Amino acid sequence: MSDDVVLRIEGLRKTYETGRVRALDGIDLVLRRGEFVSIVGPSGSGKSTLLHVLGALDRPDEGSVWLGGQDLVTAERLDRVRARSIGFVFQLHNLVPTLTAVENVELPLYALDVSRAERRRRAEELLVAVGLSERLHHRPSQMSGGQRQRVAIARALVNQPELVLADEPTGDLDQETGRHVLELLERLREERGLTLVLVTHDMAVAERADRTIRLIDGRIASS
Amino acid sequence: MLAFRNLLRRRIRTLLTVTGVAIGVSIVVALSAIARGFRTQVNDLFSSGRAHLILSRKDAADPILSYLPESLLGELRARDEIAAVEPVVLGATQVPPLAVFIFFGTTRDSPFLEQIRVVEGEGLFATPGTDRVCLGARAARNLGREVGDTLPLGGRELTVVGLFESATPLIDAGALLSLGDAQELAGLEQKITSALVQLRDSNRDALVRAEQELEADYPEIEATPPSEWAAAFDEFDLAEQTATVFTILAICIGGISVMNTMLMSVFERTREIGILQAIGWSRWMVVRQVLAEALLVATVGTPLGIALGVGIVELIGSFQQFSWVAGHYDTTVFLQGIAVGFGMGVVGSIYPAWRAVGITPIEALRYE
Repeated sequence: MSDDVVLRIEGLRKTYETGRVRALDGIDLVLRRGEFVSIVGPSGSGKSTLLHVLGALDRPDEGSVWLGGQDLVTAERLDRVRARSIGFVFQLHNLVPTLTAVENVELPLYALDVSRAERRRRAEELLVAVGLSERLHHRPSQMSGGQRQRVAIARALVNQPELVLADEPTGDLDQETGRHVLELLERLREERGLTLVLVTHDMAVAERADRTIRLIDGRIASS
Repeated sequence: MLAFRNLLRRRIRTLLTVTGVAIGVSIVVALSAIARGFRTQVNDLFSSGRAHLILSRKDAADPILSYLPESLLGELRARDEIAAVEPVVLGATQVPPLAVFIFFGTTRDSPFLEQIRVVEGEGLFATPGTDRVCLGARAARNLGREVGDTLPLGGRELTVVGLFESATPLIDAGALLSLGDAQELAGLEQKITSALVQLRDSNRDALVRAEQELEADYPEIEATPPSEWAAAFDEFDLAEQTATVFTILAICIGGISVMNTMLMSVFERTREIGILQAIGWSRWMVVRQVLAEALLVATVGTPLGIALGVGIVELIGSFQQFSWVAGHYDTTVFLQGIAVGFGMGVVGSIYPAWRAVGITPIEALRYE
């Protein structure tokens, strides 16, 4: 795998209900470092399944998935892969309500045995980067929807991942706030050279990406 | 940090769970302290006196039921290794308002008298005569009796001739009678319940030899040093076995209480647990999280339970009916309390932890 390839997928197949539902049916995909790719498609087209496989949340039935130099099909500990190499931004912010913004951002670093001081330093640095320097010690309930999603973005980046996966990150926000969140993701991608995969229903959002992959019935219809 | 915050999320529920743990621990601590206290008091009954050995009936379940023939005393006194033998009659009766009133029948030269100090009136044997009784200070308080009053015992009216104090609550809450009066009251004609033996040679070897020889010559007798006397009776083992049964019950019931809380907590946080796994937390980290919450509950509940248990024992001992109750608080009692508290935490978190690790990130992300 060449140096600038972050993810390579070949012949990916995934079925559910003991083979009756083909969620993914022969996907081949290469993502390069710093690339911004959007995935679109109707409901049931396999977007979420693909995202789960890309994010080391699930294993395929067939095919190969290489992230960095690691084979995700045979990797023993997918949690370690997620902790080291992947950042997630979900539609709902999914922050822990009892923790402050900075404590939420620190959470992935517990899995990497990062020291307390380093955890705090990295979390604060990212919250400043997403424009929340005044909200470090606020709880999710004390923040707006847009601010919460920015905390979630900071949390996704705190482990310095090779791949950031965003699943409808603006789906729960109003248009204006959604636009700001997208702009933030794009800025951070450029600044940090992130590889960003964004799943969306919204074509206007998808078209901001370098490349748009359209899925239909578990296959790539266009790329 | 997360465990602590999670517990604060549902404060009332956490408080109730802590209370459940504390009650379980307090019951175990109280029962164990009372059982051990009773055993200690029985061991103390004759420990500070001159007696080297106490002779009891071998198969007696209780010191009160240890019947020995009084004629045995003469045979024992004739033995070379024995310097003196004094009989004791230990009995219990009802004296309203007390359901259980313990009395000790002794002789003038009994080593048992070294356990008491006359504080008012005169000693039992200061003046010859029958129908005389000396009351322990607690007994006098409980019965509202003073020197010169009469005390109805077993259909007879005994005169209170003196009051005494003893460091052992069991003695302090009882009465001292002459051997004859005690035998009559207990219905033990020509019988005693135990004999206090003073050896000529009291070194360790002589003591062990005397124990073995007496038990060999009198198979119906059990000879024990005073400090181990309680071990001769099954009753005390039974009390401690009862405490053990309650300990197991407390762990089970308290464990269910903790489990209920932890399960609700896990169910409420299904999505959160899934998200934590999605961002890289291992299953072990999730288990640790659940365990940490349960152990935090135990950490708060256990000391509260121990304090409550001590309070319960002291409260029971303050009642007239149970003034002989004195808790014995040794390391074992506290370790039992700690083991029960944390046992509840561990037992109560196993199933919730198993449920928590069963949550997959994908399922959790679908969960609303």
